[in-house]
Amino acid sequence: MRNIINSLLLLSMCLVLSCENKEQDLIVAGMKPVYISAEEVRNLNTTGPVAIQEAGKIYTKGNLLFINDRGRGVHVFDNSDPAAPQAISFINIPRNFDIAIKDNILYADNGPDLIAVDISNPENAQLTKRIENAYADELVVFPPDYEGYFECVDSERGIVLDWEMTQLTNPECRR
Amino acid sequence: MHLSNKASILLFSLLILMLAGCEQDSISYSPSGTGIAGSTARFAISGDHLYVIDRQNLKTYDISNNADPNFTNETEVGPGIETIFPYEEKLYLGARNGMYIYDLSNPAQPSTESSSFFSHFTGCDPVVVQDDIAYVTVRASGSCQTGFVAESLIMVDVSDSSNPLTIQETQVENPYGLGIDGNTLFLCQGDLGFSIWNVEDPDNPQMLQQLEDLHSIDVIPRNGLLMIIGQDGLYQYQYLDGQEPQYLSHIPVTG
Repeated sequence: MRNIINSLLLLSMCLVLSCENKEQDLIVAGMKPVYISAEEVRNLNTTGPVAIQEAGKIYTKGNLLFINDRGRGVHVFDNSDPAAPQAISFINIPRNFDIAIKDNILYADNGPDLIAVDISNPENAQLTKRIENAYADELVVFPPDYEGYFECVDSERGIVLDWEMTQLTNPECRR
Repeated sequence: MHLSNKASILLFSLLILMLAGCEQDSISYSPSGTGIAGSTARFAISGDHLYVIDRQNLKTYDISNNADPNFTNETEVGPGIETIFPYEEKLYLGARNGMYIYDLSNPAQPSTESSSFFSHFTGCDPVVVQDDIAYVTVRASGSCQTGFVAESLIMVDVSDSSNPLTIQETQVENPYGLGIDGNTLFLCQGDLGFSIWNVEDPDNPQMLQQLEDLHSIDVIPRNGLLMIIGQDGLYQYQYLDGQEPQYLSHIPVTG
């Protein structure tokens, strides 16, 4: 019932908005997607330690500690001494939020793909398998943790890497 | 002869068990085995299988050859799955409307055991399990808000996984991830901080401590070590039963 009411509300709002649009443009603050090409999203590499920009999920195995940088990749630390963890490397995995590890293999989401990466040497991680389009990347259809206007996602333009605040003219999507 | 054979087998098994126990308990680096995730994970490994959730599906990959994962199964669970927690041949899925339990008797093809819908609740629900109790948090703030919801910590008896029974529901503010170690439960509460609970008596959970300034989203408790992630980065503490956790280190966010 609630859903029906919500849809009706949304519909009527859309109608009202589209009427408004004919008279003058609606210019509002909102979010727009930052796109990355399908090639770029699959471009992995390992670098030396870098700063964490946006802390995501954590994972630990043996003495190693992994901190996901939301949508960017995985920071690897030697946590033998938890009072003084040592940064080892950063594994750059675009659109990555989750990892799990068995033996020396790290599994990660990488945009729409699932990848397996050999981390025997965490300073030089090696892709061992890529399963393309392993799961629906539904999270990127709208900006996470956000309510308001946003520019609708156009999958023709690539994969959504991130969202940024901007000025929108006649946005057609709202949450 | 038979007896001594049996005895030596027994001794040998004991030794292996002890060694296995040591491997799990020590914090030394071991290249084999599976790691430990926080409660908000969407990937889980159990034995030779990797389980991945997206919004409504549970996907299974065979990782017996770990460098070469192979898809084996996809099951539609229901809308809004948020987290996955593997525990003793079962998968516990935290969803926006409750908790699903899957059985891994056939690990290549998880089968549904039960789904618990916590009355009218719709929130974000990570779940962790220890012994026969599942600990679930229900958060309603931010993007999880879908109407009026009481935010709470719910304890569920899962000894019969086909018929989970809610034992206790305690109101807590703004709960995110959580962790359990013995009788101690660790609760992340976003910008309201981090709290430590005694859950020895599941009917009557007691809050022991609150670190109000510690912004926290998820936690991994392991052998007296707490790893806590929040918007300011990763904090590590040492904890002992009933004592105030001791600060060890901080990896900052500087982006």
